[in-house]
Formats: sequence, structure tokens, C-alpha cells
Amino acid sequence: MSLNKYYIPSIFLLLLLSITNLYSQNKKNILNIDLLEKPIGLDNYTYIYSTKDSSTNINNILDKEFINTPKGLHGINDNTIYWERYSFSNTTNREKEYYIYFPYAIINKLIVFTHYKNIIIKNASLGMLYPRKNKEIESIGYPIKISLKPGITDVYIYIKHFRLALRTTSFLLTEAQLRKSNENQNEIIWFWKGFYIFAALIAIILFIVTRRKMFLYYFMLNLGMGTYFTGEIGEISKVITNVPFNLTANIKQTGILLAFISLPLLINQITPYSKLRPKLWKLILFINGFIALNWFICLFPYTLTTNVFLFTTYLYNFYAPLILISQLYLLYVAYKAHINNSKVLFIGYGGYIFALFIYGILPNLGLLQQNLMVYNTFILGSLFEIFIFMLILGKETFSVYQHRATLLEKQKEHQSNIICAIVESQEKERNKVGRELHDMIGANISVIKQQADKSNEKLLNIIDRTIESVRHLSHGLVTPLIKDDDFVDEINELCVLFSNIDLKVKTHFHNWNRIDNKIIVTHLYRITQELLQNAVKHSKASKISIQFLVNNNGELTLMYEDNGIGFDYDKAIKGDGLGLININNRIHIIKSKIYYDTEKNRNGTTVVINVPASTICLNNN
Amino acid sequence: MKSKKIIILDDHTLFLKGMELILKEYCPNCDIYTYQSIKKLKHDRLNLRKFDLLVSDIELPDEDTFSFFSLLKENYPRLPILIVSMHKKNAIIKKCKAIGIEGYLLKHEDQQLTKAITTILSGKEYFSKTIVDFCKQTNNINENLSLREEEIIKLIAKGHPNQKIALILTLSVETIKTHKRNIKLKLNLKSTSDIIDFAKNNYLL
Repeated sequence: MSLNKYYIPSIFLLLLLSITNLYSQNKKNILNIDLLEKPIGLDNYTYIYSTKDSSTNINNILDKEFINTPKGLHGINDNTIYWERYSFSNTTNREKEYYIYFPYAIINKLIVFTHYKNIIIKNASLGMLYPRKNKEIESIGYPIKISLKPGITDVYIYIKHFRLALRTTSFLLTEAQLRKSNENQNEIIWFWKGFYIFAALIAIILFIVTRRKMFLYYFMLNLGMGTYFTGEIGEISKVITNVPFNLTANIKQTGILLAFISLPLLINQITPYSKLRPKLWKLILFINGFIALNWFICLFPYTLTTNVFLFTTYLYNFYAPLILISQLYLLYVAYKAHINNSKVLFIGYGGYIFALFIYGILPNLGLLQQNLMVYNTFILGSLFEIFIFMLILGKETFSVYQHRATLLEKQKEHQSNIICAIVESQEKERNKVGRELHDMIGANISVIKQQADKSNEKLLNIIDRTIESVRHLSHGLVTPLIKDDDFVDEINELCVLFSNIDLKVKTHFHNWNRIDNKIIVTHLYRITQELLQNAVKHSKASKISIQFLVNNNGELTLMYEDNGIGFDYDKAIKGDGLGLININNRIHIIKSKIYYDTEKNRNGTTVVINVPASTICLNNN
Repeated sequence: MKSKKIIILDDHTLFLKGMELILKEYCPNCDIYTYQSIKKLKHDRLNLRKFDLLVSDIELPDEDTFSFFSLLKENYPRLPILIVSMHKKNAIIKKCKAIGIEGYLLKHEDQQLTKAITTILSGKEYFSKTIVDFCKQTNNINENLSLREEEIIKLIAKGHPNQKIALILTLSVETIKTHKRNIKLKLNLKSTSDIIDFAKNNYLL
């Protein structure tokens, strides 16, 4: 596959992007908030003290030693309490309001204090509603509003977490910046929403057209992602839009659930890997079931104020990555087992997971600073994955059509074979009966005549007539042993047999010596016979002309004309007679065209048969 | 009649016996050898030069009678052959004539058998009247132009377009076109004006 050309460069590009990020870290100590023009990442101004003492009395920690950790808060450690200190200096003489924003806060309890002229004021409190009945707690993860009066020197934040890797990236924003950031975020969200809706539309159309499950799953995946991004408006915009938090949370959960359920199913459709690691596959389904159950429980607003919500957060932070990464593992297993599409998908999906790792995991561990490059890496990884998915789906769609075409062809071939078999067996049976008639009955009657009393003229007459009719019958039944130029004779004889005082049959052969294809010639003979029989039975014609014309290109035209009463083709073909069907079957076999120019009660019938030169050459055995 | 040596070859036992009886009646002195297959005949290694006539069926099961006859005609040109067959087929008769077979009778024409044998023994050919008529009929069946084609030629000569001709003859235009094509092919004409010329030369318009 030509895709090979693109994997390696794409992977390298992703690597390169991630490496460049590692060099973009630097140190700063005091933040002069007057210089704020754009959202500032606060990691570099953060001082931390970690403890096990859950007391929120700020006076106890004022003398403690804060550690300047430029990379921000560290993740897991034994201590569950952090005190953070931000060193600001408001150089103006006005009070200023800012928002500290934790984009992915998974914090049980958070209290903000400001240090003003040696007085410490409790400024705000928020967190994961833990303990749940605590009325002090206002919100979860929303921007924390702090007002910085002139003379404020420090902001202390008390954070209680629950043995979790803490996402430490935080920003300081003015309200205008917050609004603007919300707009920007919305733009990005709308881009993704539009993208997923578009992809979902294509997928559902493809599903309707092709009826392949993979498109249905792809549709669900895109729908899920789209739904997830619809829910994303909640985070910041709570301040601005007043959309209830539980609603956006539910919407996001619904999206994630849809995406998580359909992702493994989709990959399994494209690359059937479930049978390679059935236990893992079952585990994935089980986890998905669990997420579904959790989703259902979270539909009740009450759960937002209980531990269920906390648990939900854990679920999404631990099990979701498990599902995502297990897909990668399963794809690798599938790739090892050389299953369809697995190589391409492994690389594409691997690229995505890699981007996700850079975007979502490394900054959380404090190993990488979150910046635009990281975000771009993520976007690139996502696009790369989507591109691979699209590519495979496109290929599969194409193969569906190809498969369908071959199936149709096979069906056609099968039909042709059946027609051939019918005609052949008919020919065989006719031959058998004809031969028996000719050889046994005919010969026996000849013997009877030998033995008969020669003076009984009446008897002899009857015997003669019987022999003649047996001969006619058998002549009609047995396939003539047509060789080369015999065909002309055979047709002529046939016409003589059908001729009588009331019916004159005439023939004409033009350029006939060009045709020496036995099969075609036999079919033509039978068709002629069938036409003549029909004429005798129904047409009341007195004149018939049959012509076999071969033109200079080797095409053959059989032209049948009579001056009979014509017939209604549509009625005749539906009627009991097999004659026309027989003719049409034979025409089908020799890949020719037949044209009946006739109507009921019209003067005459004309039948034109065109045998292309290609058939005449091809079928020659 | 003088004593003659005659071989009869026919796979049908009863017919063979019947023939033998008729010949015996006709020529009591004759030596008559009957065979049911070429294989048996060959097996006996008869000196065919001493025989006067071979009466044979044309179709014997699993045997190629024509090549046997050709072989006989090559090696024993003076042994006449009379075919008595069920087959009334132009192709077969033509082939027999091509090989040089002297006579052809249909099986039920046993009345003519003695006449045929006499004729052939006297050095002439004998083909039954039915056969001769049949051959004539099949050979005369060919025509050059069909009546419809002649009609069309005349109509073309009158300057009618295809549609008009189709209307007059109650045929479809497609058929008329095919006819026209065929007429040109048969008469080796290039164009419609050639057809008109042909009509003027050959028909009274």
C-alpha cells in the first residue's frame, strides 16, 4: 500500500513537535499584573507547600517554607493537602478583579485567601463538593474570582485533592479575557462540532447506502465526539452563560459514552481483533457497560452533590484511558496477526494516542508545559487519525462496491449457466428421443414394411406415411451434425420440411463461409427451427424468407420475415408456449441481440437477430 | 441372374435378415454375406476384390462409415456401394456423392431395391426419386432478394424516406434500416443512390 510513504514522516513530525516543546520552559518569580495583556500561565509564579494537615487555618502555614516549583504542582505524593502561593503585585491604586482558571481541576476542596496589609481574607472557596453538605463550596473547576486591591502581595490557595495527579496548569485572566477566551474556545469547539457533525453525516449516508456496520459505528463515534464538544461550553461559560453545570456534564458524558462504545466496535469492524484477545475484549465491553450505568445514574441531578460525581471523575480519568490504550494494544496484536487494515490503523491510531499523551498526560505530570505547540500536536494527531480512519473507510466503501459488482457478475454468470444448462439438457433429451425414434422405431417400421404383404397397398401407404412422419419428428429433435458448409444444407432441408403447397420458405446466405463456429451455428439452427414452428402454428403465413448475412466485419444478421398475421410479443412471452423463451435463452447464450418487429393482426412479422463478430470468434471450440 | 457376391452391412438384425430374404428371392444363386459392423467385416479379412456389391447402412453405432467407404473406394474402386439408410439429408447425400458412392435408397423404399441393384450392377448410379427430388428442392430454396426486400428497393427508388417506407409496409424504421443495410451488403452497393440505380436497371418502375 502506498500509505507506507506517509506513516513515517507523520510520526517524525509528531515527535519533532513534541521535542521542541521541551525547550520552551523558563523561570519567573513576580508577576506584575498590570502587564497582563493576555492570559498568563501561572505555573511559574506558583509556590507550593504540601502537608498532611487538613486544617484550613492559614495562620498555621504562613511561616512554612514554600518551595518554588517552576514546573508547577507535582502529581501523586503522600500528602493530600497543598498550599499554593502566588506572588502578585498590584502596582496600580485601583482594585482589580481576576479569575484564576484551572481547566481540568479535579479538586475536592479549594479555598482562596488574599494577603492584604497583613490581613488575610478568605476570598472564595470551591471544589468537588467534599464534604458534600458544605455550603461554602460554590463551584467545581470554574474560574476562581479574586479581587486584588492595591497593596495585595500574595494569594494563598488551599487545595485538597484525593490522591490524584493534579492538573496544575492555571491561568490568570481578566473578565474581558475570560469572555474572549470563551469565544475563542467556542470557535474551536464549533470547528470540531462542525467537523464531527459533517463526518457523522457522511458516515450515516454511507451506512444507508452500503449497509455496513462500520459506518454506523463511525457515525456513532462522530456523534459522540460532537456531543462531547457540545458539552464543552460549560467550563468557562458558567460565568458568562449560566448553563447549568449538570446539564453540560450530562451532555459531555453522553458524548463520551457514545464514543467509547462505538470506538472499539468500529475498530473491530475494520480490523477484527476481538477474537485475538477475547478476555480483554470482554473487559472493554464490561467497562463500557459500567460507564453506561454510571452515565445513567448521573442523569439524576442529585448525584452531582454526592460521591457519585467524584467517582464518575475517577471513572473517566482511569478507565477511559484504559479503553483508549487497550485499543492500541489490540491493534498491535491484530497487526502481528496480519489482520486486515490493522497496520494502517495501528499507526494512525498510535499517532493519535501519542498526541493525546503529549497533550493530556505529560503536562499533568509536570513534564511538559502546556502551550500552543502542544495543542497543535494534539490537533495534528487527531487529524492524522481521522485521515487514516477516512482512508480505511473509503477503501472499505470501495471494496463494498467492488464486492457488489462481482456478486452481481457472479449472479449473472450463474443465470447464464442455468440458461445454458436448461438449453443443453433440452438438447440432450431431444437428441435422445430423436435418435431412439429414428434408429429404433424408424428402423423397425422399415422391417415391418419388408415383412408386410406387398399386395396390401393401403397398409404399405400407411407404413410409408408413418416412416415419413417419424423421420420428420426425429429430424426436428436430433441436433444436426453441423460441420462447416453443412449448415446451409441443414437450414435448407429444414425449410423444405416446413414447406408445402400453402407455405413457401425461401433462404438466402450471404458471405456464409466466414462462419465456422459450431456452437453458434447449432443455436442458430434451433432458433430458425423455433421460428418456423411458430410460423406454421400461428402465423398463417404463405411466404417466409430466412436470410443469414455476414457483413465485412464478421457480424452475422439473421433476418426472418413472413407475411403472416403477426403476434403480440408481450402476450406471447407470457403465454404457455416455450418457443419464444427458448429463442431468447439461446440468444442470451450466444450474447446476441434479437428484435421482433411485429404486432397482432399486422401484415407480417420480421425478426432480426444480430450476432456480434466477437461471439462468433470467441465461442469457437 | 448370374451368381453374384454381395455384402450387406447393417446393425439392425431384423432389417438385415429382411434384406437378405429379399435378395435371396431376387437372386437365388447369389452369395450373400451379412455383417452387423465394420469391425466384424474387417475381422473376416474377405477378399473384397471378388465381391460385386456392398449394400450398407450409412450410420453404424460407434463407427465412422464415411471414412470406411472412402477407404474402400480408394482400394477397391470396382466394388460398387449402395446405401440404404433412414437419412434423408442433403448433407449426407452430398457426402456420399463426393466419395463416389453409386446408389442411395431410403430404408422404406425396399420395392426399389432390386431395381437399384440391377442398375448399379450394370455400372450405373441409382439414387431414388425421393432423394433426387429432395436434393433439387433444397438446392432451389435459395433466393437472392426476398419479396419484402424487393418492395423496399422499389420504395427507395420512389424516393421515400425510411419513415415513409416503414409506414407503408407497417414495419418499424429499425427494420427498414436493417433491410437497407442487408440489401447493400447483398448487392454490394455503397449508398442509397446505388440502390435507386439498381432498381432502375432491374425493375420496371
